[in-house]
Amino acid sequence: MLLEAFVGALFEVLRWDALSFMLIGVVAGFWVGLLPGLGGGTTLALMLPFVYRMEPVAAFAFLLGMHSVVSTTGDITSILFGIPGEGTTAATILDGHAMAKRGEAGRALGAALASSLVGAIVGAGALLLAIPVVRPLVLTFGSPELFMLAVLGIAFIASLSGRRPRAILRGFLAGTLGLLLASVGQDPQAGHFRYTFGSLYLWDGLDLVPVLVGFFAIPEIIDLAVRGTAIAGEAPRGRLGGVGVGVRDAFRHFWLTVRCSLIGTYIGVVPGLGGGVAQWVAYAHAAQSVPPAERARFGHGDVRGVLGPGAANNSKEGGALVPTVAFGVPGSSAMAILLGAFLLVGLTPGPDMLTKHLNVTLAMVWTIVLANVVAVGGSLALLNHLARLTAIRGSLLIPILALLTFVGAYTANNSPADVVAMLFFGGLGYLMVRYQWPRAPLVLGFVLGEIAERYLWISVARYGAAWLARPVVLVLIALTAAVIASTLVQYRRAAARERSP
Amino acid sequence: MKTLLAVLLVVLLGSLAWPASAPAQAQTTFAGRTITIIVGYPPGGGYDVMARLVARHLGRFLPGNPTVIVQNLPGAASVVAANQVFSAARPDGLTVGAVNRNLVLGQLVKAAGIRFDMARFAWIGSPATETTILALRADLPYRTPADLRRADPAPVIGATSVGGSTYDFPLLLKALAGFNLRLISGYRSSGDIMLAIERKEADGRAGSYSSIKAFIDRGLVRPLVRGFASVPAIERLPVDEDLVGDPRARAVMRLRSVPEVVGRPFLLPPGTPAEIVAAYREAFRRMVADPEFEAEAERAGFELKYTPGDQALRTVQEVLNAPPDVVRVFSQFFRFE
Amino acid sequence: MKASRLDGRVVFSGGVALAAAWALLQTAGWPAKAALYPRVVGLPLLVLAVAETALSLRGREEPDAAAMDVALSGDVAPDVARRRTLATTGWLVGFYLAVLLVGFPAAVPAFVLGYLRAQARERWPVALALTAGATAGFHLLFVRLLHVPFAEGLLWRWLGR
Repeated sequence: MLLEAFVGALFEVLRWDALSFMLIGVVAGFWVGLLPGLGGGTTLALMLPFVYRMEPVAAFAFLLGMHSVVSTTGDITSILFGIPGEGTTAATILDGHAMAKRGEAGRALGAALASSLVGAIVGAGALLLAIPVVRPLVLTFGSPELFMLAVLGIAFIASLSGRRPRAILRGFLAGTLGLLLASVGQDPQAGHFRYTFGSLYLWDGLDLVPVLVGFFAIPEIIDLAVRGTAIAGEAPRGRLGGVGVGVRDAFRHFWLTVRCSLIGTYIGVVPGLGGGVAQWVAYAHAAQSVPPAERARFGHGDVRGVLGPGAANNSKEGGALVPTVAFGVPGSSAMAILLGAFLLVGLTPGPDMLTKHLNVTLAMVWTIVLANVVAVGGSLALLNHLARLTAIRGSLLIPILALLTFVGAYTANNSPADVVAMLFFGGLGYLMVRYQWPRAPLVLGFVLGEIAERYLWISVARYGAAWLARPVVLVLIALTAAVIASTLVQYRRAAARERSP
Repeated sequence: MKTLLAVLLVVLLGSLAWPASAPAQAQTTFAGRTITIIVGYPPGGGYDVMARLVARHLGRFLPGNPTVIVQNLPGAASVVAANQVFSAARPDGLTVGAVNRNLVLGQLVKAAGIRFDMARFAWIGSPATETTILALRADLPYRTPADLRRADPAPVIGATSVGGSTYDFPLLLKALAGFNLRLISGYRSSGDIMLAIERKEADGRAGSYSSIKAFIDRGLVRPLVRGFASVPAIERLPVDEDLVGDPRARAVMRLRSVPEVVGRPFLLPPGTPAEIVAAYREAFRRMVADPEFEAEAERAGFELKYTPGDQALRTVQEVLNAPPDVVRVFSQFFRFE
Repeated sequence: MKASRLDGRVVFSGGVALAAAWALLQTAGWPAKAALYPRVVGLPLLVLAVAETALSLRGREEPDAAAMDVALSGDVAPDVARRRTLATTGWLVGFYLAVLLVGFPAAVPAFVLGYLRAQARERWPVALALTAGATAGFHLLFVRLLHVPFAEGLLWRWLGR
């Protein structure tokens, strides 16, 4: 029955009108992801008027076509320029842009796109297999479980820091700083204003997008100016044809890519964790999967650092579709708009979408896959040309990059204060890079801190102390301990091995 | 030196490209102009959807058939947008604010950061009424207010944050009407609370009827009590203020509920000429009665009911002139968010 | 063991330690629910920051303690690097001030042209072409298509347009 519906849905998507709308969506999404400052949310909202007159399958083909592609092309900007094209593609900057600076931009792009495609397909497949169990799966994760998931995520900080104890110290330093920054704004329990200096801007807390954009883009811009060369530096020109190598990398490390896709999908499925998390957890997992002997290159241009987040930030989108469709609860802000579109075309998200309207749900899964195939296929032709941008004089690029950074920060909320925040975090990011404080833990702490605090309070208020004894919670506690222990053990073993030649 | 001159020239040229405001018109017409609706919330939420709905249709009903666009200016529950429309926007009829219906309550309790006076805006009105209800999971045995007074164990009501109708409404019911409820706040969004309800982590939620409607229709939750503002579908539910005897308690509940009649406020900056305001009010009146607009609004889950600007203004003034003792009690419960 | 060194590294981690201490002090007098999380997080932050400051002060630096993050390039002479860093920072801050004073639409061409000519010393044709392209792209996309609201700039407000 499921198989029939599955194949049937494919034919629905391949209908001429649905397909053409999807293609238009893909083209739009290509630019939205590429340009920092075009947020998926705003543009989806802009597209809503056109959706009114379409049939459900065509409408979703369009919206999903646009939305699925955004993470893929956001990786392109992250790799080429070190500016996060989207909030979910910041992790790709660390290794991806480092590769670009070595003249391996083509390879990084190929790896990112290939892993994005794998991520989308694996994500869609995992979703499909999970459809029968999706509702009980999501319902198992209550506030105590979500709190533990946040703690587990924070435990990954240890693997995002570096190899030496001093680096780990600074990693935790950055992580706790990020956790503290998450508390700016109103606290979720008493509504008390924390660290807002009486400013209306900080009422709602620090917004992720301007912070991310400044944090990663400004140090790159300054470094580019200091080097005085092109992004790819003095690297030999011939390397630019590395797109094929990058694609082959994705298959050389196939299981890593698949694992990171699954991480992305399941983080996306659990509503409440938010989109920024999947890429960093996948990045940390990729770091951990590298044998300690080779770990020195991680963060400085290891292709695995591109494959992990590249896969996860795409598979997450398919995952986020699940709570939206099955429960009527949006998994992200873009999904909130999609949800609005549902209601407009007369569909009620909820259990019906997995039974009565299963064909629409399956059509959506197919759309995500097809949109990614088209986007990746179409982009591959362009990639070599895009990679050549890294050979242009840095001094020509800097004003453009600065422009994109400023506008990107501003258009997040149409607020000039966001530009100030962007510059402030740009400065902080620069200093951290200069003094070798890893930045990934700060971002992770910042994203997870709010979640951790909220769900801790709700768990305690609702269950007293009993929440600690819940089965899934116990499993997660054990997992957290395992993650921390394994990281420390790995480092000690590596240190011991290096001491004895 | 040459560079400096070039830069200055560019700056001057660039700023000349900035659209200047047109001279005052003798007769109100918006022909060839663009009207901007500033929404105090990010894209996707109820206020944004309504504003975009209005933007699609309003142009037809305004003299001159202008283009209408929407800009989002989120921040502090639309205080930022309201501040902007109040002091920074020109009163030439080209900027409209779509803001939070509870701003007047924030002004009443003197919330920080508010630099506007709701009574001084030029009110266009509201195309829809919003109303708050308390809904509990359908499989629970509670159906009437009396049930909730006797409820044991106390049902868990999830709320997002301390300010806002998800929290205030059940709080007043608990404190003033003797309902036995346990309030747990901190959920990230109302959607999260619905998930918690499905998981049986929470038992119910308060909130606007339009946001809960889909879940009622699905059979997940059942509405029990409503606020003063009403829409036909829930007309017959018991009203919160009818459940308390004390007149001051009633006044406090009424104070919370009354702004909901003006469910989706649309405003013009203070000092907008009367003819322009009148043109807008007339356009809104006709728009709300238009069948196309009605159809789309219904699909989006809104209950249309046009409250004209003068009536909205009276409501606002009624709230702002509430007796001090009522305000004092109200402030104990209400935190603006 | 090296002699103690007071340099940028120490100042930075010391600054973070001070900020953590300030954050903790701020929580005095907050309601318990609001204060718990910042305290639970702020205390380890303070301890770690003090530790890092102390270690930096002693000049202890391990080889290979590189962060799993990008590294600033080292191929440029330090004084040249410092000059260029300061210059770029100046341009970025200047761009912001320009946005504040004359609004985005005017600041964009001013910044691009100014940087290309004054800092990058590009030739006029290149500078003008790139400025025109960037401004046109910005205008078409953000002003025309997306209707992003750009404030008009303090200077014009003061001059009473």
